Amino acid sequence: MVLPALGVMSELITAFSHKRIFGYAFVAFSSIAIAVLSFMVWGHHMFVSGQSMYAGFVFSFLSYAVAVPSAIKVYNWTATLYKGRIELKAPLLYALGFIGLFVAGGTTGLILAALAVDVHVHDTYFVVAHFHYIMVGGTVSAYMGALHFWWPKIFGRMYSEFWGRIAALTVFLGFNLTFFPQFILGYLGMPRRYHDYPPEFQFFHVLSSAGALILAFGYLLPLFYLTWSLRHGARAGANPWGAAGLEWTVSSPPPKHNFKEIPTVEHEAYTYPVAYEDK
Amino acid sequence: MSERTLFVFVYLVLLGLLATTIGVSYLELGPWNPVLNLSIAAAKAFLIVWFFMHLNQSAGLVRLAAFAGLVWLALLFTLGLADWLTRPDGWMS
Amino acid sequence: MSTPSALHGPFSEPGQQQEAARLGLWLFIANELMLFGGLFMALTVYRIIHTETTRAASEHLHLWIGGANTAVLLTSSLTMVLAVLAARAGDVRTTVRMLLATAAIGAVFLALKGWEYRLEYDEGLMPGVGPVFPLGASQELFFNFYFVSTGLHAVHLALGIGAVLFFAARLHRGRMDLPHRSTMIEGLGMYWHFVDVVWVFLYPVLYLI
Repeated sequence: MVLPALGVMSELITAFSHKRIFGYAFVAFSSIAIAVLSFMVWGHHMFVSGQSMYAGFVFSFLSYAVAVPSAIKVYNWTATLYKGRIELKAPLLYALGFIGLFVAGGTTGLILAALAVDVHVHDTYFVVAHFHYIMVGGTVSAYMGALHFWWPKIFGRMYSEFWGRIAALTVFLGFNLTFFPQFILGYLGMPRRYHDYPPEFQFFHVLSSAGALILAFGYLLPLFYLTWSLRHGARAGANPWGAAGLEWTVSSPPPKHNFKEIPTVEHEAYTYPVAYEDK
Repeated sequence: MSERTLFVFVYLVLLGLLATTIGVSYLELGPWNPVLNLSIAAAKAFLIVWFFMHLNQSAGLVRLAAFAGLVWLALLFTLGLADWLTRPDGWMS
Repeated sequence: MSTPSALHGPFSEPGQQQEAARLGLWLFIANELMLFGGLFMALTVYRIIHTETTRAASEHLHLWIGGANTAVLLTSSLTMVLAVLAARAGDVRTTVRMLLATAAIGAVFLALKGWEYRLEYDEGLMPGVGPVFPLGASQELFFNFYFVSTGLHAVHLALGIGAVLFFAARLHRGRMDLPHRSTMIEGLGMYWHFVDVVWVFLYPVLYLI
């Protein structure tokens, strides 16, 4: 599920730092490693289900192993940013949000992959917060970044950059306000799927609910300014971001037969910086 | 040997294997019964897949795709059995 | 291999197109394999937990009907593969005949299977319906597996018969050009043989061991 998001991330980070990706082969093969490993981790859902202890060892180890390629990716993205010509536009803000949320979700994943600790936090808000950080915070952030990145390509219109940035920041803040308190709640023993709780949990529950409102606002904002851009946005050229990639060599939106002749590509992927042809 | 003759020959071998597997099931071989019967089934499946499903005439990539299915199945069985074969006695009670 | 075939889409040569069709079918079959694989895994686990009861329950199945059905399915696979040969040679008449034979033999399998189900129903072996199950809860579990897996297989076979008849009708009406479209008959055959392979494993796993 998160794999397409990881691919999007490499596009966004390189396009808005105008730099070639750091360690292309490592980034590419770590995707494959995550894909392969994630087929072999289902047992980490069953640590307290009566599964054999030895199978628990195996699944715990395999779940830990996923952290290695994930960390490689995060390090390589940040290394790509280093000394790049960074433009803090809305898609990049979403991408940076992804890195933050993915790291938080990933490191708490390590806590959950530990057999003994998992028995303590099993079926609590800690688990809920962890997988939301990966599947909603991380993945949806990357997809929103992708939507903003390719929006001019899809519809040929630019959206409001100002509101795009506001939305990206609102989502990041709202998400953390919603789910970070849930880590604390879960660790203190708040189980999932209960409407009732002891009074000392009240404060964190209120924080979380307030965050949900902010998050909803952040997710709804693009609905308005993106729809607005369809009619009133400035016309987008073929390559508004100065991005590499074949899709940016044809007009926006692409014509029906986007390439009359099959293009021959002689350079490697992510040949940044791209000369600005049209801005 | 024409392809037609080959297919009929494979078919006869398959019927022979079927007769063998039924015969084996009447013998009392203890743990060897499942081993033999499953090996015969695997042999039959190989014949069908290799000849009838044209894998003998297919490119390497297609063979690899067919093999990939087996790899996922192997994952399911290896990691699944890693659980069920190592549970302590009497875990259910 | 050098099957002449109508060239279309993004392909630049017929061989490539045929390989692409086979690749796609193998991916589909790999999916199906995991569907049945889950059932086989469940059966294996059941055998590990209840080794003795499984053996006892399996004795109640009609070994010879199942055996005859295996032979029936293998025969249908032979006629199917002969249909593919005829299709590659461009022989429409033989292709249609072989396809009809395949569908008919497939129907024989379903009829035998239906008769077997009927016998099991009368003996009270069908969980949930008919006479009270006579053998106790853990053997009933085996019969659940038996009906789910053979039922799922029968559904696949019935769909296969439908597809075979559909192609036979199209060929008969001259809507399909042979040998140019023989890849489609080949794909149909691959699905048919896969359903056969599933039965090749279901038979020993359920009836024999």
